[in-house]
Amino acid sequence: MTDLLVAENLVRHYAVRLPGGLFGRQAVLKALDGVSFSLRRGRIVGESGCGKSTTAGLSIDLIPPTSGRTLLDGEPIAGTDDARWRRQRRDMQMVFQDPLSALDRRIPVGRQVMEPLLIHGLGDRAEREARARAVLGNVGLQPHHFDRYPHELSGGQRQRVVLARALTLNPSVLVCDEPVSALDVSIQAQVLNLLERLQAEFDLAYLFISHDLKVVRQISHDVAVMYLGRIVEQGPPKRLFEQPEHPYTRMLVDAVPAVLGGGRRFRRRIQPRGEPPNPIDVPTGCPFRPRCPLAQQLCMAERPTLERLPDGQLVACHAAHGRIPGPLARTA
Amino acid sequence: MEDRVAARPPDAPLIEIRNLAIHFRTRQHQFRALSGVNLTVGRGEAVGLVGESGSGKSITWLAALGLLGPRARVSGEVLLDGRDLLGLDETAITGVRGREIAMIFQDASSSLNPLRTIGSQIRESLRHHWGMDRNTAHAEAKRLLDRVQIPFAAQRLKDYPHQLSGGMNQRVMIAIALAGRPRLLVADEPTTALDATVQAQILDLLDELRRDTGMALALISHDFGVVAENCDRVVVLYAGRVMENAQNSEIFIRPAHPYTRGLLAAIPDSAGERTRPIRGSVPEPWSPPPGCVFEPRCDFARPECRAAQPPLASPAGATAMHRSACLRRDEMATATARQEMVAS
Repeated sequence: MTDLLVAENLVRHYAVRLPGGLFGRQAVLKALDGVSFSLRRGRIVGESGCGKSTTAGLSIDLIPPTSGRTLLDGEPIAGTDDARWRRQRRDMQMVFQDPLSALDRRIPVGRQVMEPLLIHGLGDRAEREARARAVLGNVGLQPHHFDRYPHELSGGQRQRVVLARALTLNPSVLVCDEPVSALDVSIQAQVLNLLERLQAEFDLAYLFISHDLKVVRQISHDVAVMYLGRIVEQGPPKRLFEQPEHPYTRMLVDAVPAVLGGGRRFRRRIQPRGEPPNPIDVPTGCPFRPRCPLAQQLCMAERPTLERLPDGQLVACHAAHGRIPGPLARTA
Repeated sequence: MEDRVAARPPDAPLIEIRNLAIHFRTRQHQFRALSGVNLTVGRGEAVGLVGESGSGKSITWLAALGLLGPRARVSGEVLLDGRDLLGLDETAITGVRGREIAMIFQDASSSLNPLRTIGSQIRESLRHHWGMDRNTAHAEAKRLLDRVQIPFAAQRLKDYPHQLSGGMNQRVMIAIALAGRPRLLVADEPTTALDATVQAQILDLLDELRRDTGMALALISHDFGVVAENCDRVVVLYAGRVMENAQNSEIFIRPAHPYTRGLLAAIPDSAGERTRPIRGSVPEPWSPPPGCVFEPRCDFARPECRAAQPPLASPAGATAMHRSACLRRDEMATATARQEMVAS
């Protein structure tokens, strides 16, 4: 099966001025620094870490890349407003975190779900309305919700409307940027299960972005962990969460608080230390080095690249590839 | 005040909230945001308050500190060492804020003044609480930053909030809260806006401070995991009422309320197991259901659940501290948390 959405070496840099007013030094903020991934039809890739939302924007051409490119179905995404670009845009839709700000408060939700069809000039009024009603039904809303305004709906219902609107054009890729983070726990699960059902039903591919590792693990087929604008580890969720290779992944996985049989606290394998540095001042060598318990001379000198382990797991770490003494907890 | 403290038994709770209710009146609606909440926090105890938005977990403490404003009508009692805080005048309650009970919030960066250095903001708090002179306050501010594990404290005092990361700003907020040497710290979703690794560090810090200083901690969170790892006891709130209140060792093993069970089943667990959502959504505060507030969403509801809100009581076989507001609490408590219960 061919890849549906391919991101090739995406880079996004921003010029910023450091504090100091007019005399402040110019610097480059590397929000995204060479990210590649591919997404197959009907697969879900989850992301977690620094640079997630920039990846979302770049991958569907909402933010122009500094360099690199994205291909949809083998065709590069055109940066210009021509017929091909409009067709590609129909095929890629985005779902944002906060449904209330993603919706127009003055328009009934049914009309907002019809709007993408109007923009792309599809169908007549009756057809558009029929399509919108059908999609609202698909996401589990009732016919009477059609004429409601966003403020009349609950948070979970609003997120369903946002999903319905993204689905009206029958896209093949849905980029979901923290789609359940603003929802209450009991509602989060409703929307996650809905996303899983829609994925199977419409053969959708999701680029699913979340800082919540438990959510990512539940929904993804493939997970990429990002740190300072780069992917540091990528692989199937079971492998990634049970045997994390990169020390950052390990730290993240260990830091997730869990309800474990009423126990007060379990011992972490790696005590988290330090914080992600300012992306303007990325350390030389491996960007994770200042926080890494395994760091050696080599990590300061040479930036590890994302390479495959024998079992296919992608990791950017000298220790994981056996170039420096490996993780202590590997067998523990 | 001193002799009143001495007269109380040493195991008496630090905070005892009795029958706290809050009514709001807006142009369109009049509603109860909190109904008959009873809650205690022991000396040095870590209590977790869990609930969804609008459940009343934050508003309880805002009411206790007199921060709700004139639109709110508050009734009940909030006893701090036996003294009711709700009757206090403005001068007296000001003495409680920060000195007896301090509070930190989710977004530290917006709680701090962006135009003043963090040093001056910590010193302000020290001068306000203890009347320290500038030099003493400066030394103490540095000590506090060391205490919350901010590296290079002396230099950091000259920084503005925007020069620090979100995690560092939350540490500064904790330092400001510690300046009053409070007996209770209310931490309202203190790590929700932070990266997972930073969240773990802040929670460890709060735990360490609580152990070292004997300060009690009320940790407000929507995340059961955060509460399970950092608290001794958990209070579950829903639609302005306490649904369940129990030691960690009981509530996560044998939850005795369908809402608690539902919330636990709705969290994706670390094994990536499929979640089971709770159907429906939280009722609007101005149109609560007639009986039990959770009844419309409950898989275990019976006709009698529609008659009245069940009181908090201990399920059979549980300790007296374990209390659940469910008519079927005895059956609930017999099945373990991960066990599927058959609705009937």
